[in-house]
Amino acid sequence: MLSRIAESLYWLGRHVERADCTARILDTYLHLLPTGSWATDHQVIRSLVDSMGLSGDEEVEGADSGKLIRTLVFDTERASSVSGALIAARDNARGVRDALPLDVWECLNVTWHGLRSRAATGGGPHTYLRWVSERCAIAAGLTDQVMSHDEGWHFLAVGRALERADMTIRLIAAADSETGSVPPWRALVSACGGWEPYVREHGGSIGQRTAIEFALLDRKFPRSVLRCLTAAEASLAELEAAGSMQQRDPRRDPSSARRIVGRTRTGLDYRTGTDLATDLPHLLSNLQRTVASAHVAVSNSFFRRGDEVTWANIGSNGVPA
Amino acid sequence: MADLFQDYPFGRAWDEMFSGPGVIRPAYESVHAALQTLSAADLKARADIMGRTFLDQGITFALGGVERPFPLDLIPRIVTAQEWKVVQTGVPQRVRALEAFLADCYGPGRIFADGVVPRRLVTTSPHFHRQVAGMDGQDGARIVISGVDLIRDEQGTFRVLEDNVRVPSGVSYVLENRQAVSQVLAEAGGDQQIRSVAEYPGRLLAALCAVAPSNINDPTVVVLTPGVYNSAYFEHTLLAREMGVELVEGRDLICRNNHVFVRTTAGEMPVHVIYRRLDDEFLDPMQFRLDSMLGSPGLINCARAGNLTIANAVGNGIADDKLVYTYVPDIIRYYLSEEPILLNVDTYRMEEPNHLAYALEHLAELVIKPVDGSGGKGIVIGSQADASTLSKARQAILENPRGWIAQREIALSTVPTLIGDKMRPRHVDLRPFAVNDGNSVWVLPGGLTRVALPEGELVVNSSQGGGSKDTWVLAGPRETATDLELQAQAPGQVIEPELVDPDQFQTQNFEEGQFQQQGTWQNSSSQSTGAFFFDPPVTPDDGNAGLRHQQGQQQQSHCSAGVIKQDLPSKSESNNNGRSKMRLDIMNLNAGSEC
Repeated sequence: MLSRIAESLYWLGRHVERADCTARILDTYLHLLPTGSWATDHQVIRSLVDSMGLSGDEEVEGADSGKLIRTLVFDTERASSVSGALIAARDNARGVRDALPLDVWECLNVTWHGLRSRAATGGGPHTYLRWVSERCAIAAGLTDQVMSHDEGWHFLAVGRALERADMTIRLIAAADSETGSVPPWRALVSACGGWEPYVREHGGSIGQRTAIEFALLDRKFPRSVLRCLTAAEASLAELEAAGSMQQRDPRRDPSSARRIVGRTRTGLDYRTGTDLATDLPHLLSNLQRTVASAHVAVSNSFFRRGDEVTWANIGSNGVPA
Repeated sequence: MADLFQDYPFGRAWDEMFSGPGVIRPAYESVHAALQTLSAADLKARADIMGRTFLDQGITFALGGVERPFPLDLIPRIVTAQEWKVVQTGVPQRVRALEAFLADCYGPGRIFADGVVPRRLVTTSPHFHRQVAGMDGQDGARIVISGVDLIRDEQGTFRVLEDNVRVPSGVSYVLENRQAVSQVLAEAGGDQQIRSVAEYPGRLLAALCAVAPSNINDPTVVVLTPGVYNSAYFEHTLLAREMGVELVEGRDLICRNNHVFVRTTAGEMPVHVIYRRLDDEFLDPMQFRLDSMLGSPGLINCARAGNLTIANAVGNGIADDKLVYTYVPDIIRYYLSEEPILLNVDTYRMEEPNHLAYALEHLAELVIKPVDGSGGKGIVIGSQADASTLSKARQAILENPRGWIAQREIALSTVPTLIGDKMRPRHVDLRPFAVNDGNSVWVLPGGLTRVALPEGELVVNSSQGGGSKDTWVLAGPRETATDLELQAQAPGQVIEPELVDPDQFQTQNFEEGQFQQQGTWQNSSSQSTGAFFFDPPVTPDDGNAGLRHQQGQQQQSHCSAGVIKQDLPSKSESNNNGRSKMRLDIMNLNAGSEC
């Protein structure tokens, strides 16, 4: 598989997942709050902005709700906004059009065409975000059901799993801070999309500890950090096996990403909910580091372009070629 | 609803559908009959669905940075078996002659020594590349893919408008148009046998493998694209997908020790054949444009060392040169000792004084073209140009006679096209695609029919607001019942009508062998399926039918009591005890919105 295509598929997985998670998070925070409190509840906004990793961003800091929605939902220039992530996903898909089934491409392309018209209909952010969630679900379903689960699919799956883990970790970190009028654990579980399974599981004793345990360690809920890391590890193992059958390049280390993810996953695997409270901040920063270094390891061992050669810049300096 | 064709005008041009007012050519009868049952609004609706599908699937070309679907007109253009015979023999003849010409130009140069073509003609062409002179590794297969543009003149004779043996594009629309039209206008085919276009990717891959360096047994083929921003990017992806090969960009390639590799997740993989969709000038910054970021440095040396085949070969542009075009009939006679099957359009060379004098005098009746232009750029149609354009053209010709040719203005043949809510004649051309594997040239039975949508417009290029039509090549009348049976068994295969080329005869024999194989295979498999007994699909045991029935009744009896009540059997009413009534109320609350 071409490195460029592998990289694009990885990012395709990440971007679709990012759009999906961001849409769900925003939808939750926008509509879970009691009417009116959105404008005044600075704590919630701060927590939301924090979870997106945007604290310190001038455009977002201190913005009112309308501006924040424009930035986080509709801003097509920003890769972390919902629209921006979908545009980036479609761009990646277009570059690997030959490696992607027609249905997947068509789904992303139709979404891309719909972005502008949907944003313009004035149905409000909720309608738009619901639509985005549906489109992302279709894309995810098609990649799983139509695409062959070959090397390319595993790259996509790794991207998706790492992004999902990253988003859930951010949410837990944000929920740890005070959110004022709305219980933070409820926002956390809803934003993960896990409210119903959580209630069914912990129906009797709803509380912050079980919520965090659910988002981090649940073995059945597909968006828990443990499940995400397990999925990433499985796909990385497949990729390592696929790569080892072919000629070896001493500059690459195809097992590095799997080792990083696997070590952290094992740590989570043997933890119980009661240990969590004592060193949660430490654990969360550890998890974030794992996701970041797994990303670097994947890039280095699979997408490495070799050293860029600047062949000649004579033509660009005005000297006729 | 015959008014689709109301007031259909007839002009000087040959109309493909009508031989006279109200007189339909036999090949178009089924299309015409199908159109009789449709209104303009129906057609429009179908065309809209088609356009939407194209946009959704990204079947677009980029014009000025905006992706748009290539407008496809629903009414197909039909070529009869008899008419196609000229194309099917004429195009390979032309390709073989140009092959010989290219090998000669970059090799011994016999044609110059014999005085048939002046050497100056070739060496002054901007597409003559000394970098590839003396490279003979690819002789006979320099033109793997060609698209010779044909038009039909006022008498219906096919003539060659120009040769495209560099990077001819548009074959993806041939494949997609067929699919789209068969989806929305399936009835138009009637009982005619339309030859399939689906085998093109397979033929192309086979040819690309056949032209690989001779010491390679199992060659790796890649398609080289400039990237996603190229106007024909969709076509590149389609070809790579249909052939099952990698679509690479220049930055994926590495040249080392005269071998080419592609970067993969498992290291570097050798590449042997590159089907490039890139102009010569951008292919190799070591030889051509130094600032090219699209190619890969060292490609030409790899090819020269015999480790790489570039298809089409570098330097083919001299055969596309429109001044060389005027010599092609002589080139065919010189190399093949045959008379050209396809005629040229009458052309004046501006370098010859009497031609020049005539052309300058009759500028307003001629078509002036730059010799190295493509995409309809720079063409001046004398009869439609104003005085200042003509004087500019005259100036340009006088400044650079080598750079221009003049041709008689031909009214291209017309096909009915849906314009607004009426059928109107619009000018078309035809680009048949030919694949050369070094031994024989195969012409795809179909082709890209481009149509100029503005009234009276003669330039049909897509970058000039052109559209396209599906092109149907009809199977010959030779076909007997047994032939049809064979076709039904192997839909991808087609039976070639009479072939003249002995090389192609071999291919035909090979194909017949395949037919037989497939036939016996199908027979044996049908026997075995006849013996096999299939169970019906498994369904769940429906043990809860009674429960569902009661639940449903209860809901309905409360929701719309007046209507449903009579359906209620008295038995179930009498069975209701207090508990089930309570549950009923709860259910009714839950189902409130459904009432």
